[in-house]
Amino acid sequence: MKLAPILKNGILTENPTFRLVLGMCPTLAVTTVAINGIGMGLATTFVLMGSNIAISLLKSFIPEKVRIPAYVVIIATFVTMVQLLMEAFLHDLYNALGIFIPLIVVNCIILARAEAFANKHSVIESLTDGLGMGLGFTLSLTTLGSIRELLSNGTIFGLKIMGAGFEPALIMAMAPGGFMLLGLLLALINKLGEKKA
Amino acid sequence: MRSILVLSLKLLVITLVAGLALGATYAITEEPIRQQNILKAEAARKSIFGEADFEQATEVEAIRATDERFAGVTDAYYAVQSGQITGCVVSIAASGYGGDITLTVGVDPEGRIAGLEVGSHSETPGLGAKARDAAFKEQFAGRRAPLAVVKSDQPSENEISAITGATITSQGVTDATNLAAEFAARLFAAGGK
Repeated sequence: MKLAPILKNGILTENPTFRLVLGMCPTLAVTTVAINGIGMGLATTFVLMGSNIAISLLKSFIPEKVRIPAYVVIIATFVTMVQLLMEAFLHDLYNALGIFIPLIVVNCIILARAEAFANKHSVIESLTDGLGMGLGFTLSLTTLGSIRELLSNGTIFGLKIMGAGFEPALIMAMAPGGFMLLGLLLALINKLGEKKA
Repeated sequence: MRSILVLSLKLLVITLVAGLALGATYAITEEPIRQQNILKAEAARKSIFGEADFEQATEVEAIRATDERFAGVTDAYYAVQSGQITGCVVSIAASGYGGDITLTVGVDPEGRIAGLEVGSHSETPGLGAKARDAAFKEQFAGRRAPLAVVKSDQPSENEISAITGATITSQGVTDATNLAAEFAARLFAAGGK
């Protein structure tokens, strides 16, 4: 299997947020500002690559009947290790991302990729899939975060974009605004996809 | 029967390896994390009182026992500059929207709030987490407790303007700051050293 299509699959064709509509809980919770989207996206990418490698390596060892508990143990272990190591050695990054790291455990993209991809493919392919899916997730979260930050605060990545007369729409920083924007973007992307097909 | 044994054994192996890996990681990271937290607390004190020396207050336990509202106070230090006590720093847990917020509140001997630092918290990013922003924190500097929270852009002398969409966080931080100021007054009354 070629690696480039696997990468593209995660970023575009099967984009976890806009195509598979997976991981909605962390998506809506963290995309209040753009920088959170990048932080959560990259942390998830890292865990996704790690768990995909581990599960791909162990695919012949893990018995079919108990694969889900086995995956959950592997993913949770990996996330906890990342959290401890970051707190100890990358403290500034940990302070910025702190609250998002435990959220990664409950992100269903990771379990979905373990189940749908890593337990059927080679280590290199699984690693690429983790990278592609992670980048796709990062891209979606950053897009959502940028738009919500722009509309609710007049900034993107903390840079002032809107002029002084701008009336911020605070609803965009809260959950209802997140749902509305997500719905509109999903509709737009489905419409664009329709034309191509 | 045999297959159940095999399944259990394999799961046992996986959880055992996971447990060992976690234990090892914890052992490696325990000390650096402790050091980081000490550094962070020191940095918070320094950012309020600059290059003063800090002496741990020995009266914390006794004062905390006098009033159950002081249960959230974890620690207090005197800021000492050339032999003079120039203020004190109280570490206190405020109750936020997503759990406890660790606050470091500096108070000068005249009872004015010298500064406020927000440590670890679980507030919503973009809303309650803005308690860390200078725009909110700097409102406290130079004010006298008790302070009240208002949802207005033009707070009066003893009012703090709430973070939009995060009234609970704003209220929690302000309440804890008021308590810390009260605690500091008791510390100063105890005579410092």
